[in-house]
Amino acid sequence: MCRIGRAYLVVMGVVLASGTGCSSHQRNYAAIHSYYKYDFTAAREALREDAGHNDTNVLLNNVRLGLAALADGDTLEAEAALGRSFDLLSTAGLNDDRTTASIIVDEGVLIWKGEPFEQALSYYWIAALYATLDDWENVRAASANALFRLTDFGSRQTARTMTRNAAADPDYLEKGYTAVDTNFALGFLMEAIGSSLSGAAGADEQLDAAMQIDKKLGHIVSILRAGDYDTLLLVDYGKGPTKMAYGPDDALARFVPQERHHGDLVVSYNDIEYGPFRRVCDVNRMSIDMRWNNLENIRVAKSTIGNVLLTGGAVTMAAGASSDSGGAAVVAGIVGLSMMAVGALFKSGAAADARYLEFAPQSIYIAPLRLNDNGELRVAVEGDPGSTIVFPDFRPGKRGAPQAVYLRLHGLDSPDPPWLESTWELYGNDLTGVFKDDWPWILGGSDVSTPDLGTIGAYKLGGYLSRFSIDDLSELYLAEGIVIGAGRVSPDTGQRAWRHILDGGRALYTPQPWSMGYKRLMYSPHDPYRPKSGRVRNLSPRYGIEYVQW
Amino acid sequence: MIQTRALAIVFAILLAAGCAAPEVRTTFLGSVDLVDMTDHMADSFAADPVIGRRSEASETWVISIDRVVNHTNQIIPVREKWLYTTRMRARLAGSDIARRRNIIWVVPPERWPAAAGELESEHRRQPPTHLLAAEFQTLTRTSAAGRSDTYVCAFQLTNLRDGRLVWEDLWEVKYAAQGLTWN
Repeated sequence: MCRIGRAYLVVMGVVLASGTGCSSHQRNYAAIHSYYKYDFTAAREALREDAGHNDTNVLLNNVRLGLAALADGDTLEAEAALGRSFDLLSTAGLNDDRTTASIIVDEGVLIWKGEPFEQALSYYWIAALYATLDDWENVRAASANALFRLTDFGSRQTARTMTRNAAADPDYLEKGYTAVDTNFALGFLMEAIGSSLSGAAGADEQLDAAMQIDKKLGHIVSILRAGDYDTLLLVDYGKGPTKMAYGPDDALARFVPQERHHGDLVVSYNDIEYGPFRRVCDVNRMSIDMRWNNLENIRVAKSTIGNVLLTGGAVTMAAGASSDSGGAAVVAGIVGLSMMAVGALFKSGAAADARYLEFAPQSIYIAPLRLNDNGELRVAVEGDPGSTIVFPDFRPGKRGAPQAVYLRLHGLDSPDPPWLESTWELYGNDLTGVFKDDWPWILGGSDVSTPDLGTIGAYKLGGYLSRFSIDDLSELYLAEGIVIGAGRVSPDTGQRAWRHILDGGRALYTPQPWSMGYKRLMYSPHDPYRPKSGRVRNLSPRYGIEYVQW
Repeated sequence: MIQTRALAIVFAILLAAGCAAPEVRTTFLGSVDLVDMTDHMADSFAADPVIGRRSEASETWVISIDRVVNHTNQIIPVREKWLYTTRMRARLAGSDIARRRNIIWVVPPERWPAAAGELESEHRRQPPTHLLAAEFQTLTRTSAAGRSDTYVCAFQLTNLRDGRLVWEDLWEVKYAAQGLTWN
């Protein structure tokens, strides 16, 4: 009886352990909701702690965080998160030595590396980040990694037919495919742009490859081939497909489109229309193409194992119950129960891994433009006026050194806040310079430039802070617990400060120009600053402007 | 009894393995390569006959260092692109070669704020006579079995007056990783 008890405890212990062994894989709804409300700062806050955990979701959370930071115009955090993602994405066999554990417990314990299409898109976003940083060498490098070969099991295959084939032939998934060249035209275009602008060879061949995949890219390819552009818009639009489990034991997973709006990208500059630019990447289509998927396989094996064990356990119990020996019947019964418990565990683990990149768009556009002078840039997706964004004083780059802009526009299901189309910039900053006769926002003005000789000089020209040096102004910010720059450690809290002071945070910086984060911060009205220190309270015009106007 | 314990241990190991943190095993250049590469290049530079013939009385060489040109398939952030040439210069500075061969190291204007304190300020802004540059290339192979990257890292010292190549050397390494690239 003692042995029976121990055996039973072992099995039940395994069952219990499996239920509490790993971290939860629930979706981060706070981050998702914030992201699709254009509040990328809040989305980053909801993700930052998770992204710091070195667990099975580390890649997923870092790509999520990197995407939110990229849209928010915080290149420091975007580069850190996407840089970490790049290393993990480029690691061959990341899950090789974890397969056994995944079969026994849950596919969810695999390190999330995404479906191949999510991996290719992640490389694209890394390239997009470096484009906005004018680092074309890294644009080429990141894009090159997105052009891996695909596994083609035949055009008529579906998850179900492949599952049946895999059940009939154990070698099917390893040997039943043909390795084919990628059809990721977006990757070839970005690689060509990076090669051309960094002086590397191969741009023409890469453009040829993009054209071979999609003949309708001729307009974009001809501009890129001629190098006749000073601005490069990289636009993600809409909500990408969601991943759902289905089939027996929810063992299979598939992507299902959430938005299907197929408009072209419409760009106007000083009321002159450019384009339209057709989309370069249809993420909905990519997600259901079996060549871009690979994780349907192991669930079938697990589910089968679960069924076998359940059946075997029931048979053992039945055999024990029919035995003449009372002791043998008890032993067989408990062993049978144990096998069923393990079998149930296998079956529960058979549920498909439904983790995916919720921030992926439904469409991706590239628009190379020759704009020449400063002007008003207006971008929208045809048929969705709510997606319109306007930059009233856009500054193009130069031919050979274009100004790259990453825009994240949400689709018909998302709100369209007023700041998207606003042409009234409310706050002076490092891009605009200090507005005429303005002074720091923490003193009641509307300037959020970082302190330097230029800003102090501009304040003084307006009659403000005439006896202040840069150090004096920096000390004022310090007294308020405000750090200069994004991601710096706050002396007050000992934590890194990422949230801008206009948003109620402790960081004073200017987000990346022409980013969504820049537009939101500088074109939305924010509540007046509430001084914390006696010094600022006394200096603030609201509390005593005579002290400011020395 | 022994079987029961063994079973428990096996399951515990499997569960623990399932929750363990991922290890990053890439075919990319790492910090060890940075040290090894720049040590080799600094030694090669110092041992070069052209450099060796110079003395304190030779005409001053003002060598500007430039960041690495990255033609690999590895992301190398800007700060790291500077690190390779900066470490090589620092290694040479430590060997007193600058004084003995009458060499002054300078950096391009874009690097002045970051290099403050590293280089003597009165020398930092002199117009360069030579350029120390590096270019990294890679040959990447991927297959169902894994991925390999062969790196060729070339360092060059060019005379800016006549474009003549004064010194050059290569550092090579190959890395391979087994496993499906998409897994």
